[in-house]
Amino acid sequence: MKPATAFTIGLLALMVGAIFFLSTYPFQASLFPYLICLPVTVLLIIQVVREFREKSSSQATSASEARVRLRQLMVEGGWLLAFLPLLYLVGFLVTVPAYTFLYLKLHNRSWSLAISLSLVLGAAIYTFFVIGLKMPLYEGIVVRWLIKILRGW
Amino acid sequence: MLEAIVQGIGAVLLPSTLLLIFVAVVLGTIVGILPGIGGMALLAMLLPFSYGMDPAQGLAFLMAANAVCHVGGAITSILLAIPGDPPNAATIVDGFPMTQQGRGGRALGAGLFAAGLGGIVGAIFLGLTMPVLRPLALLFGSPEVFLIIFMALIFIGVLGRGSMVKGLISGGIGLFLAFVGYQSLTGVARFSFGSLYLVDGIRLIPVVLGLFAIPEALELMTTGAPIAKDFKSVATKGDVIEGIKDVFRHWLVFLRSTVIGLIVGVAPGAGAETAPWIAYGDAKQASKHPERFGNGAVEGVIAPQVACTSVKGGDLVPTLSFGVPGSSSMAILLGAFLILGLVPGPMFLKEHADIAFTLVGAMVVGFVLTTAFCLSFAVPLVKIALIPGHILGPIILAFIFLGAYGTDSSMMDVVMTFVFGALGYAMKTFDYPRPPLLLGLVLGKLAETYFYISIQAYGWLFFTSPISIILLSITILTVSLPGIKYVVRKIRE
Repeated sequence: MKPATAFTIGLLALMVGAIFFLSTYPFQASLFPYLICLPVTVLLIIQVVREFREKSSSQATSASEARVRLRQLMVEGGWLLAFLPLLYLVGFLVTVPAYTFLYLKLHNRSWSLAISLSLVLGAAIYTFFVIGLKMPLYEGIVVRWLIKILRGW
Repeated sequence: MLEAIVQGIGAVLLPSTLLLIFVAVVLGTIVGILPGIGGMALLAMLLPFSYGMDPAQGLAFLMAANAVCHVGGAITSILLAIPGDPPNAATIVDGFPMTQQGRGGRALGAGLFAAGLGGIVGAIFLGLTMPVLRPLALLFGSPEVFLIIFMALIFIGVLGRGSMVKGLISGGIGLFLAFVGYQSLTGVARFSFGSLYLVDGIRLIPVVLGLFAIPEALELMTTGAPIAKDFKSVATKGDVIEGIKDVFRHWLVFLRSTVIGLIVGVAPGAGAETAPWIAYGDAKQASKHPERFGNGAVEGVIAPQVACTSVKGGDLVPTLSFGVPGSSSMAILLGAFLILGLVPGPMFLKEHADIAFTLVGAMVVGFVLTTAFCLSFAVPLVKIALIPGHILGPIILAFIFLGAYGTDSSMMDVVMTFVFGALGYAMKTFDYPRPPLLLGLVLGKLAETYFYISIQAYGWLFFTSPISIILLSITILTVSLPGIKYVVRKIRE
């Protein structure tokens, strides 16, 4: 199965699930969503049939190129995903400079660029959001825990 | 009336008012550029500062700050595919491809100038027609507002690049997402599965950032190349001026989009997010080369930017005339009126016409200042598009997640940004247009509310008033126009 078809089937499953849940809601809460979800389901079925009928187009890129591209995507997608746990652990004020530094350094950028850019970014965020807009940024569970320990001292 | 105009404009030209407007413009532009913190949040933040101010000055200060946000928001939409404010999302569709093609300077020139001029024309038009527009606002009941929303939703198919079916699916998924959460009519929490976060509904900012900004950031990080793939020369002042000239070249697009912005603004509750998409769909439909849209058509930048700002003028009509806010930011401004001891409503234009003209003047001065301010920085800003993707990637990510978190200080918004980022990337890869999903999400709840109100008030045949019939006809004509053109071409052949 082509990835595009799998994605369309995923959307179809979402719509079917939505219609199932709509049947559990009162009439007034489900009427308008039914008016939307039913035609969308029909459109999704048409799209799935279309994609199954479509002959696979000739591959413009070679298999090795596609493999390299997929590998790059997995690596960079992993970098992107790494932002979330780091943020959860140490919060914005540590994550942003640390992530920038690590990302630049592991992508073969110079020490001077990695250090200066991460520091400038950290300082800019602190100045703009914390001082300027008085926005309380998420601290992260590790930082919170450390602050608690230091206060206890 | 003339006396009120002179008094109102005179109040704007006082040095102290001009200084306040200047401060408001700087703040509004910065907030417009920062993703996630929109005009509404800025108004909420500035509201306490207006306590104790002279009413005219306080309102001019707030109005200028709120009005200019969308001008600055065009910068990040065009250069980085990160909308500063949700209404700016429509600008990405053609603005970002222009930057990728090395025409970022031209896109910025066109987008910023169109937004500024649209705002000025909208404000002046509002000033001149305020007594006429008041009865016009009365013509828009719930059926008409529903049909305006319906019209925008039907434009979903028009907006979709390539497959119309995929465009409609995308819009339908957006509408479905809008149904998540508490329904005010029945009190039922739909599709929330016991999650307190989902009871509030899916928030707009994480969806906007996830759908549009994350896929572009990931693309940048994967290739490591600069945004501008075809950048023969660094943008010059000439490019920006060329963009400004484009606004005059496409004067009809400008005019139509201004009128669309004003009408959507006048209709109470239709929302500022609706106007840019209707204007975009209209520009595409009216174009002789609709296939260029989505691939870097300058009209695709001009139309939404003009509607973004001209809607502000229209927004003021229901707010001042009936005390009914035209949008959520106008609801906060309504609060400011009350705090400053003024009660908007039917008598407001008779008793405080001078203040109404002060607001119009503040908008005009605000738009002139912010356009000049942004255009003067356009050339250096375009150089962002030359920075390698591996350097720009982490910076963009930081701003995306700060923007997502900043709206409600919620980590769940950050998680949702990731979720919609994955959806956005899949949609981009499999050629599902993303703007219809956003439009569906924005308009879904409003459409449902006005649908039920219309049925309760007028029955199932609620669309029989003259304005409703006109709106329906425009919608049907818009949908059938490609088919009619096709038949005419076939007959000629």
